[in-house]
Amino acid sequence: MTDTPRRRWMSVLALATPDEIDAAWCQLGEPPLYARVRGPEVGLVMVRARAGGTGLRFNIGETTVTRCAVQLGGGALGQAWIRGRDSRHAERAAVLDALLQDDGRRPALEAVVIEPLARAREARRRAATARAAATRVDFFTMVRGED
Amino acid sequence: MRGGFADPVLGSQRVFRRVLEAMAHPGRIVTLDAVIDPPAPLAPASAAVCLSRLDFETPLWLDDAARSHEAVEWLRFHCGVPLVDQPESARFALVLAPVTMPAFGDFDLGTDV
Repeated sequence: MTDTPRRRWMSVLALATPDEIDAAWCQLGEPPLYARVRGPEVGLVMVRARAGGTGLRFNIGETTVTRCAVQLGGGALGQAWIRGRDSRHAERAAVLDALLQDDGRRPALEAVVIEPLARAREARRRAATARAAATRVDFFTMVRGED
Repeated sequence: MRGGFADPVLGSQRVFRRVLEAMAHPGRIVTLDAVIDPPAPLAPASAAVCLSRLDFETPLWLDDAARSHEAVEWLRFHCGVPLVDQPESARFALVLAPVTMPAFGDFDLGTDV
């Protein structure tokens, strides 16, 4: 299993809202048996950014991150890192990550859990972009007073 | 993957205080009472010291007796510690077979020479 599908579903799970994760959790029906390996624990992460002109990296600031690692009965290790302090979100996202690593269950889970979350996030993003676009101002230089 | 400290902050602090006491009084036997279930061949006390002291800035050297796959994975996961092959590059060494370990002079002699 390559890296990319897992990165995608981990991203979708991390960027979902807590309500969406709760709804996805209820859809699982019988939650699986799992053990906490680490966390959920809250900490700080330094965010790195690149300056626009030069591309130089710099520290833009710290953000709160909650991480969790769980292990299912079958041995799959699921992990999650989410922004904010929501421990339940992190723990449930980690369990879902572990479940999605099972090749047998993945197609069904992706269709039922991941795709709706991805669509909801895309809808939120489009709505935010539209709201921002409505406030856009275009500046034009009309006449310069230097003659 | 087995767990580490139940409470990483308090567990780490508690073990550090016990290790400090042991090293401040050579010959004194100190009990760590850390409730850890490490993978073989790590023992609970040495595993607890590893969790307490190791991080991404403290390279670790393991001898062959300690270098099991589960132990390496466990240390990497919980401590984020880089493992090195050369004793002189290590800040800490975990040795389970002292009879065959490298000479002390092969390790990092420090900066106060």
